[in-house]
Amino acid sequence: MNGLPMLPTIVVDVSGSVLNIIFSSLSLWYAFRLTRLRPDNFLWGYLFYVTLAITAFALSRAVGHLAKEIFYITGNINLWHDIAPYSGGINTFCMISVAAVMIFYHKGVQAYEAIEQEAAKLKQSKIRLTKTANELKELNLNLEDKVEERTAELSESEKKFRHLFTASKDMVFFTDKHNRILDINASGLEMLGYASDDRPSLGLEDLFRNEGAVRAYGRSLVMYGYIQDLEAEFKKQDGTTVYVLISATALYDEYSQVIGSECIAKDLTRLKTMMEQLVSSEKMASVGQMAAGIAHEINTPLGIILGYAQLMMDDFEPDSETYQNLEVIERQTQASRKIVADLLKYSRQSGSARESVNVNEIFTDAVAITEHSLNLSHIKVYLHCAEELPVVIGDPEKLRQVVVNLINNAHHAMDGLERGELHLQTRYAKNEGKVIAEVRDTGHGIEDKIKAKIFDPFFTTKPVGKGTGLGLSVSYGIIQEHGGTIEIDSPVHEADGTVVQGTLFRLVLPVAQETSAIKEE
Amino acid sequence: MRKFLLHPFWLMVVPLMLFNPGEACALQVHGEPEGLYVHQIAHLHYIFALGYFYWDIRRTSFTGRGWGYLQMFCLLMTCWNLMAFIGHIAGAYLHPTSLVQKDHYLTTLLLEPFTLTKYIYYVTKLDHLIYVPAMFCLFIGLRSFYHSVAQEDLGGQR
Repeated sequence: MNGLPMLPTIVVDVSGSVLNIIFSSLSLWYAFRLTRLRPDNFLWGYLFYVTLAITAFALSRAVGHLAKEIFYITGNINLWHDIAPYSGGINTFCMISVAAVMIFYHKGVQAYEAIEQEAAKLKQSKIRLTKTANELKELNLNLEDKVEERTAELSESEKKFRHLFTASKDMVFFTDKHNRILDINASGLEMLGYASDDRPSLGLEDLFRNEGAVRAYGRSLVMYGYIQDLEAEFKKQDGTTVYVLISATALYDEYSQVIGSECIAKDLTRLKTMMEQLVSSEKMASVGQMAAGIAHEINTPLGIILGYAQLMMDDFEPDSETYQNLEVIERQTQASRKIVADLLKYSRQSGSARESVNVNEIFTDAVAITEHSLNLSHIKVYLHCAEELPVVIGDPEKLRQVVVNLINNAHHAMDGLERGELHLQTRYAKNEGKVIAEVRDTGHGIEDKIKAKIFDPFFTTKPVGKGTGLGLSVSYGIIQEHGGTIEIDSPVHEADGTVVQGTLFRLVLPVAQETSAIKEE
Repeated sequence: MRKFLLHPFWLMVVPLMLFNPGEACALQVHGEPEGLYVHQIAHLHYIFALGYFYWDIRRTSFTGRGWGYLQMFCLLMTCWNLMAFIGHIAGAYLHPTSLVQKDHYLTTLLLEPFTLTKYIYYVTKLDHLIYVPAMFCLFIGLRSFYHSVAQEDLGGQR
């Protein structure tokens, strides 16, 4: 009996089945580990199921083959015949399952690719969104910084302009289109005589003394958009006038319509007064020169007239009519010589002494001379002498004459009043190096229109025959000669801002050292 | 729909079928060769699935050694399926007297005279020579996938 032995096929079948069990199990193990490493990865998940099906088929087949070989070898062929349909059926089922799972690979991968693409798109979108968010965040942060920086700049700028507005010594105000003043600085209020914490409701009509000036103000703003160096007179709260120089700019809305103005007004009152005083000084200087010439020419014939009159008086009896007439001539000639002497003093033609003078002593002497007549007129004298007042260089007689003149004028100003007060005060302005002597009365005061004339020679408000009009002129000349000045304040402005009736004459004299230096120069 | 169901034809046929069924053949009997046919069809299905899988791996252009081993698995498994398919046919045609045990199963002989069917039967009985390498390819392919992913993770951690 010849034939081909089937033993090799049996050996291959058994060993192959064992190896299949090993390799399929290892494959399934790695597939499982892959899914553990990448639980969210579809591909490895799918491969795990493919491997599971393949392993199930391989195990089913290998176990079936091994069982068959064992049953055949052990002689239990019938038992195998009972099991064989089940083994074969399971094999077929597993094979179909493997095939089915593999077929789905294509669609699975397509789905996976689609998901991956969408995921990539989402990832890209997320990256872009993150980038955009970061840019926005950065922009936002920068914006906050920029806004903060700009706000700080604006705040600083606002602070500066607010300081300029509040600290300016000139009047600064804003108006609306109805000429109402919306805001005005403290200097402006002070200039108008209001307290700095006052908030008066004012319009330009209340401000300008001249109504035509308000119209001119509005017209200029509409026509030119600005006003430059307009001289105007403002009404103060107490009705007095303050002279101002105005510069203004129109404010516009989005339709280029004037909605108001911003205005700066500079107080010119002091400058104007100084100018008037300068003009007056010049005028008096020329009058003084003329008076000096006239006085010099008249002085000689007056001396001759007086001499001859006195000689002739010796030739007549004192009780004769001629003698009495000569006495009248002598007296009038003496009076004329006094006038001429005053004129010469005014024009500084007369000689004067130079020595250290204590102004306190001058005041005390002057009060002693005039106190009696002042008391008769119920005028109370207040003498406030500064301690340790430095001396000035000058002629004590002339200075005494000036003070007596001023006291007499004050007395005259308080004539007719039931009672009056005369305040005499000296003080030392250390910073300026000046001695200040003030004579203040509570009289009628001096009208604005005659303030500029009071130092003019022969100008007087006294009745004819009661004054020569040379008192203040001479005083002015003397003080000028001493390097000082005379200032007038009427009505009197107190340091606390209040205004009281009366007149104040302020003599400002340089202290001794400075005066000497000036004279040496 | 209602009009269709209430058609006179159905109203006559349905009662006839219910009350006179005759040989309706509700359950079909599956005879002996059917199992073999199903098994063979399953092999063909497996071959088709493997081919499709192989083509799809190439189409998707996944790179790496693992995918190469997986393609090798597909090719070897396809070969095995063909071998098994042919082997089953050869087995069906082989006469039962062609195999004889001398004294034990392990001494079984395939008797002469040798025909093509007998040779094919004998060769296809050695199908594990293809099946085992196929499973080996699957094993090293998956191991390669695992190591590459593990390496990626390691690289990412570094």
